[in-house]
Amino acid sequence: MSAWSLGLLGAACLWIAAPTGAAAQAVFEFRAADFVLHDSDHPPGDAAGWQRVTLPDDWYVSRPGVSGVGWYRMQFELPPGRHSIHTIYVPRGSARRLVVLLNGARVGTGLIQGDARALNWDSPMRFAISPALLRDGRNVIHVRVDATADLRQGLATVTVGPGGTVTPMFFRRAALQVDSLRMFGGAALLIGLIAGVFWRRSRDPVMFWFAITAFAWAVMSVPWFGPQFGEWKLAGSLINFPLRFAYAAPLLVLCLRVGGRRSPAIESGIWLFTLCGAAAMPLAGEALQSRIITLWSITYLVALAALVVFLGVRAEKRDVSFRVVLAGIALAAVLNVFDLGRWMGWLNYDNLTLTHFHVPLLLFAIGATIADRHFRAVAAVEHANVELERRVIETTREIAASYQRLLEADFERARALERNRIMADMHDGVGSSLLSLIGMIHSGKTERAAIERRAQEALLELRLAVDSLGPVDGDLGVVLGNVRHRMREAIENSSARFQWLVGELPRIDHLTPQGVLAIQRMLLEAITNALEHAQAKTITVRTHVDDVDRTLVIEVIDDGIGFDPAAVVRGRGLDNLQARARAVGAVAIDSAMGRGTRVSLALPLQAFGA
Amino acid sequence: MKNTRRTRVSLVEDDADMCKRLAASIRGKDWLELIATYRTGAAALAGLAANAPDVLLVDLGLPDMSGLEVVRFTAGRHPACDVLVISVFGDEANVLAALGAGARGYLLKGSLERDVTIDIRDIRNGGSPLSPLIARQVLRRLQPSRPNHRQHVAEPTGSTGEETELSPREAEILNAISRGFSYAEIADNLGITFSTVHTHLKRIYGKLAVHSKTQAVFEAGRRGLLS
Repeated sequence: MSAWSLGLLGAACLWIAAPTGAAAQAVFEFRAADFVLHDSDHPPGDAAGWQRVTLPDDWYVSRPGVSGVGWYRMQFELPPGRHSIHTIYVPRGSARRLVVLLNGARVGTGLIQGDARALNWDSPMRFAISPALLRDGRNVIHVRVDATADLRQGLATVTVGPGGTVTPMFFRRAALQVDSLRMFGGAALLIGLIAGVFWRRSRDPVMFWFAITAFAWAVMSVPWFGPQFGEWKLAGSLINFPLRFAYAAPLLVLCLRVGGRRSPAIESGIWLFTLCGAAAMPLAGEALQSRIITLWSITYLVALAALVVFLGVRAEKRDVSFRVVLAGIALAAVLNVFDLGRWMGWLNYDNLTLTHFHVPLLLFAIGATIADRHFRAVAAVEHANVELERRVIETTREIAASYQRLLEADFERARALERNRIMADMHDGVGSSLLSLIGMIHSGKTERAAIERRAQEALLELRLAVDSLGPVDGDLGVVLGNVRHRMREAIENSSARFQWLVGELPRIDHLTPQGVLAIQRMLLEAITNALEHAQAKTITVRTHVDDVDRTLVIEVIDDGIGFDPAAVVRGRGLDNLQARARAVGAVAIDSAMGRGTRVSLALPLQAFGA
Repeated sequence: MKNTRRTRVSLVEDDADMCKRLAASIRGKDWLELIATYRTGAAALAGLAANAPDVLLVDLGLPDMSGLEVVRFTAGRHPACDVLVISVFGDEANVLAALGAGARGYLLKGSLERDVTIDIRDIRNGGSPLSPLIARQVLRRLQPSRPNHRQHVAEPTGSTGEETELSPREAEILNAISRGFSYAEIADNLGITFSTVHTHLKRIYGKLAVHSKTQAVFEAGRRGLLS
């Protein structure tokens, strides 16, 4: 980017330096003139003491310290015949006041006192000459110059010729010297506004200084928008000098900040120097102003050079945008050397003032840097987002995986529990039934019918175990119903009347498969006892809720022969019955000889502790 | 059961012993006629395609396929045929699957004291006895009033709903069965005749089969929509 900018500038310089060539025939370029220091409104006569001087004539060089009115006289020959419109062109008009006369007639007035353009970046001038004023043979141009040597005023090279040839020279010069300034001023205003908007959002100090610098430059270029701002003449002069300092200070600060340096001491120094200079300028006399400008120019140059060295040495990140900024500052320094050389009289007085080119260049370089940073930041954020998303997905996957593992572990544990339970059931129920069956068969004494009954019991045990695996959702009614269903054949084959008084039962939420199995076995045992041993006429199964104890009571009652609980040898049946019931509730056996038997199981309606 | 012709029974059972015993039971009744015995599912499918019995006894555990396929085939091909599933445990899962496939009931393997012909008689009357556990499941599936009943939340509306919803009386009967009451007791308690209970049961079996079919169609549609 910097190479491109430099190339463009180089091309511009070559263009300026190129000879005007083809149209030179009828054009007179005065490299010398007669001069006399004479404070009169009309051209002095031949006796006034004219002296030959070279043009351009920089009073700072040719007559230092002088401030006043001087007359220049130039002569050119025109062949006889019809004369076309001619133009007088002066590449820089630097004077308090400049008046041009042709053959004694006034053809135009240049700059006037108070016009900011008379003091800075001197714009080119042209004066159109009516053909009527031109004579065959010798023509005389007089230029009255009111100038101050200290402010580098004087007269530049004067060119006269046909308008068609000379006017484009003026416009070319004006484009480089004036239009470019206006353009840069407008662009700076726009850039400053955009930077301001960015700053409002980001609060980035670099952006703030960028905006301030751009605004400073834009305001300084206001007087260049033309003499149409008549009332600006004085104001322009007043603000022009301070702004000449003002834009430089934020620019330096900005360069420091962009370079990644924040030094309050250096920044304070810059501001102090700038404020002092800006304040002194309008108050100081012309001689002092000249010295201030010189001092300022040198200081600025030194500051730029120091900045280049400082940033070049200290920078940690030497990326492209940094190099662009560095090149911009270096270029600014070169342009300032050029203008300082002109100011000091070391270079041709006619040269363009080039300093102003460095501002858009630097603004462009810094703007590019800021944009570069912005997009880097955006890219970094995007990258971070992608990374974050990736991590979130990864974490989600991990969580899902660990949750899955947890589920599997849970499932495994539940399965192990269930397996243990089923194993225990098999061992207690079917296993022991089968063992006793084998024992019966081995003994050889047991009847076939008894063996078959035992086998049927084993099958029933197994069926109940299978049934207990199904969900009952705390519905005890279905548990009781299932026992009856499973015992259907035995009940139907019995001669006893069977009464089933099972009403609507409340839900028992804490009913586990083990509980269901225990209740079923207890009922099975009790009903089987009643069917087989009680010789009962009626067997009743009934349920009721005991509101006081908060229990659900299941009773198996028969009117059979009964037994003496104290006297009876505790057999397998009774023991089993009690052991099984204890797991889920309280069991009570109430019987007496001849008075039937009542087996009751009381289940708590709520889980213990609930 | 004073039919003019005998009830024709076919048997699908791979266990030779069991097969012999069942055949003996059936041959012992003059109102029953055993017309075919199949030892594999494939043989059953081939034979049943041509020969439709009045009652088909199917063992769920066949060597070459699930007995459910035979049930489904027969129920689809011969709607008039009553299918009875032979089960060792008569457990909920198997029996409900069989009922859903179109079976009308089940009989327990190993009930030596109980004659299989009693079950056949029951099924001809309306349906074999439902176990309380299965009655409760049927109640849960077909009763619309249960708010936590998952299937009914997304149930397709319209005539199918009415066809599969239980009437209050049917629900009452199922509820009594699930609490262990016998059909005679239910008839007594509700003040209806024994045969009316059977009629209700027959209707409940029908609704369960329709419900299973609708559910299958509905499920298929839902999956089709989702995929």
